[in-house]
Amino acid sequence: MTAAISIRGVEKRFGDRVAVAGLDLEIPRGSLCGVLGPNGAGKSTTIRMVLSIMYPDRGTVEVLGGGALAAKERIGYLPEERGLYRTMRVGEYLAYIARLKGVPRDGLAARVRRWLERIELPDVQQRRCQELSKGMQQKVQFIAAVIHEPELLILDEPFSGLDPVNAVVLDRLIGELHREGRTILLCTHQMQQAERVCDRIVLIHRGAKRLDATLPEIHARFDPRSIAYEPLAPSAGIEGELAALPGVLSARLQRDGRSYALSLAEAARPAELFEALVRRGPARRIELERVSLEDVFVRVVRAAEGESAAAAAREDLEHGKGD
Amino acid sequence: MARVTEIAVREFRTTVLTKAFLLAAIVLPAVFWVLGLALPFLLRPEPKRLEGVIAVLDVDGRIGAAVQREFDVERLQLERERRAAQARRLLGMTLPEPMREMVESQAQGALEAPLPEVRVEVSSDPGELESLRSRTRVGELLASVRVDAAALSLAEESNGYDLFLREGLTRQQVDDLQSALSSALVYARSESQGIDVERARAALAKPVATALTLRDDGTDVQENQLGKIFVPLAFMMLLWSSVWVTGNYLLTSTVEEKSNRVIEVLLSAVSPLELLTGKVIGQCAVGALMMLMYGGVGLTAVSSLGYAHLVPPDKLAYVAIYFVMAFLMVAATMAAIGAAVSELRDAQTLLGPVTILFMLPLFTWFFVTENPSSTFARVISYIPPMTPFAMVLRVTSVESVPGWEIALTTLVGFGGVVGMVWAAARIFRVGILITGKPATPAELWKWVRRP
Repeated sequence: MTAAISIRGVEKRFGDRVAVAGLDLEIPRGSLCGVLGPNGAGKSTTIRMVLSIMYPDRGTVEVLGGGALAAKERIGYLPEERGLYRTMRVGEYLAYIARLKGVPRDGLAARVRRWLERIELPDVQQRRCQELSKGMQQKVQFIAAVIHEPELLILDEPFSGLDPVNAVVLDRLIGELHREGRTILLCTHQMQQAERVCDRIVLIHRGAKRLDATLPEIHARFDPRSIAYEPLAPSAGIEGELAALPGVLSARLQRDGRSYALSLAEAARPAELFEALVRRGPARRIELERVSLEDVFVRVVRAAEGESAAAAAREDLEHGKGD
Repeated sequence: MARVTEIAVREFRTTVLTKAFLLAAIVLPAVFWVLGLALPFLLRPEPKRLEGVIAVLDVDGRIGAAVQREFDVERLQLERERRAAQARRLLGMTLPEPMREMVESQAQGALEAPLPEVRVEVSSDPGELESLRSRTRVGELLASVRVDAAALSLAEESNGYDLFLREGLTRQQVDDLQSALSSALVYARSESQGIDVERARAALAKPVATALTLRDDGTDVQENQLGKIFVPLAFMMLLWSSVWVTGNYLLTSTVEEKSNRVIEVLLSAVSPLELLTGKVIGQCAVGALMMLMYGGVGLTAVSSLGYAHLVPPDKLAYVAIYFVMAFLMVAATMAAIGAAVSELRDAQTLLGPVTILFMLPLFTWFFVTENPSSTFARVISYIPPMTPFAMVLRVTSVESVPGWEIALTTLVGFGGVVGMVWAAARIFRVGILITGKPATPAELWKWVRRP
C-alpha cells in the first residue's frame, strides 16, 4: 500500500528565508503522526504544500497515491489560523464547506446535525457563527475539517486555545477517527499532547527533518535508563547501598533531597531492580524514568547542529509553550 | 465547476440578502419609480391668490389707468387662455404623447387656479405719499406705488416706479405685482408713443417651428435634444455604478475572508483560481441584477414618457457586452487588491490611482458625447480600462460609430480583460495567504512575474 503522504527532496523559500530545506517524509496510511517542532520550524509550510495551497520550489509531494491537487476532496484540514464567516449560520457554513469538499446535497443536513451532536454542539445549527464562544467556534471549525469524512486529516495546532473540557472532546474524536482507519497528521509544538495522542513522531527544525520514528522506537533510543527511587524513610549510607545493587552504575541524591537517581548498566534488567528496591523497605516512589519529547528534540538538534542550536531550540520550545 | 458554482451562489446570496443591498438595489429604485409618478402631482403649484387694494400715486394719471387695466378680471382671463393655448401648441409639437398629457394636466390646473382680485385706487396728489405708505404698513393696502414723473419718458435715467409692500407677501405675489406694474408701464409708454401694443406684441411673438428628423425607415420623428446628451450619460452612470459597487463588494468579501482567516479553509477545498472565478461570477450576477433593477426603472420611465426610441434594442445589446467587459476589468482589479492587503483601509491606498484611471471617461462624458468621433474619444476607446465606459458613451450618442470600430474596440477590450484577469489571478494566488503589511506595487509586479 502506498504511503498517505510521500514528500521527496522538497524545498521551499520565501525570498532569502528557507522555510523547508530538502525534506523527505513518508507518512504511512492509518497512522496518527505528530509533526513536531517550534514555531517557524516549517510545519505549516509543509502542510500547505501537502494541500497544494503552496507549491514546492523543488522536490515532489504525493498525497494518497496521486497529485496533491487531485486529492483535495479526500483531505480534511484544520488550519492553525482558522476562521469562520461571522454572519453565516453554523448549519449553512458547514453545509457550504461540505459542498466544496464534494459532499452531495442528499443527506447533507442530516450529516451536519449528526456531526454537531457528535461534538456536543446539538443546538447551534441556526445560530450565527459570531454568536458562539471561542471554544464552540473551534469545535465548528473542527467539524468543517472532517464533515466530508476524509481519508487524510491534517490538524494544525488543534488544541491551541481550547479549554480542558473541549480539549478532552477533541482528543476523543481524534482517537475515534484514527480507529476508523483514517490517517491523521497532527502538527503541534505542544510535545506532551503529541506524545499522548500520536503513534509516530516526526521532529522538524529549521525546515529539515531531525527525527522520524514510532514512540516505542524513540523510547528505546532515548530513554535515559534511569530509575527514580524515593524511600519513605531515608537512612544513612543509602547512596552506597543503592550503588551496590546489581546492574546499578551509580546512585545520586536529587535536588529535592529526598529521591535518588539510579543510573542503570546496559545489561541491567529494570524489573529485577524494582523487586530489589521493594525488598529494601517501603518507598514513596519507584519509577522507571521516561524521556520527554522536548528532551529528545533538544538532543536531536544538538547532535545535528551543535550545542548553540540545541540551546536555541530549547528556548524556542519554551517560547512556544505560551502560545 | 460544481465548486465554482457553490462559491458563486454563496457570493451572490450573501451580497444580495443584506439589508444594505435590498435597500440600494430594490427599495431605492422602487422609491424613485413611485416618486417619478407622484412628483408631478405632489409638486403641482398652489399659488396664493393676490387679493386686496393697491394705491397708485400717479401725477400724470395714464399709468394708474394702465395698472387698473392690468388687473381687470376679464382681461386677465383672456390673457391666461391665450398663453395656455400658445404653450399647448408649443408643447404639442415637441413632446411625445405621454409627456404632453402630463403637461396638459398641469396647464389645466393652472387655468383653473383663482384669478387675482385686486382693486386699484389712483391718486394724483404727491402729498398723499406718506399716508399711502402708512396704510400699507398697517396692512390696509396690499401695496402702494409711487410712479416716477418721468416714467413715460424714453430716457434711461427714469426709475419707473417705487413699490411699497405690506408684510407677509409671498415671493410669487411680489413677482406678480411687479410683473403687472411693469406691463402697465410698458403699455402706457407705448400708448404715449402712439404704438398699438397688441399689434406690436403679435408682431414680436417668436414663431414656433417644427423640427422633424427623417429616418431611413421612413418615419419622421421629433427628437429630444436633451435626451441626446443625457441618455449616454445615464447609460454610463448605470454601467459605472453597477460595476463599481459590485467590484467593491468583491474587494470587501476578499479582504473579509483574509482577515477572518477563513481563506485557508477555502483553499484547502478549492484552488485560488476556482475561488477567484466563483467570486467573480457571483458578483457579476449581483451587478447584472443591479443593472436590471436600475436600468429597468429607467427604461420603464423613458418608455412611459414616450422616449423609447432613444434606447433602441441594439444599443441595449452593446451595453450588455460592455457591462461584462467593464465588470471583469473592475473585478480583476478589486480581487487583486483584496488579495494584496489585509485590511480595507490599506486597500484604499492601492485603489486611489486605479479609480482615477477608470473614472477618466466619467469626467469627460460631455466632450465624448458631443464629439464621439473626436481623436480623444477614439484614443480612450482603445485603452482597456477605459474602453467599455468610453464605448458606452459613443454607441449611445446620436452619432453612429462604425461597425469595424465597435468590433476592434471590443476585441481590444476583451484582450485587456484576459490580461487583467491573468495578472489578477497571479496576484491573488500569492497574496491571498499573506497577512500583515500590504504589498507594494513592486511586490505586486514580482508576484505577477513569479512562475
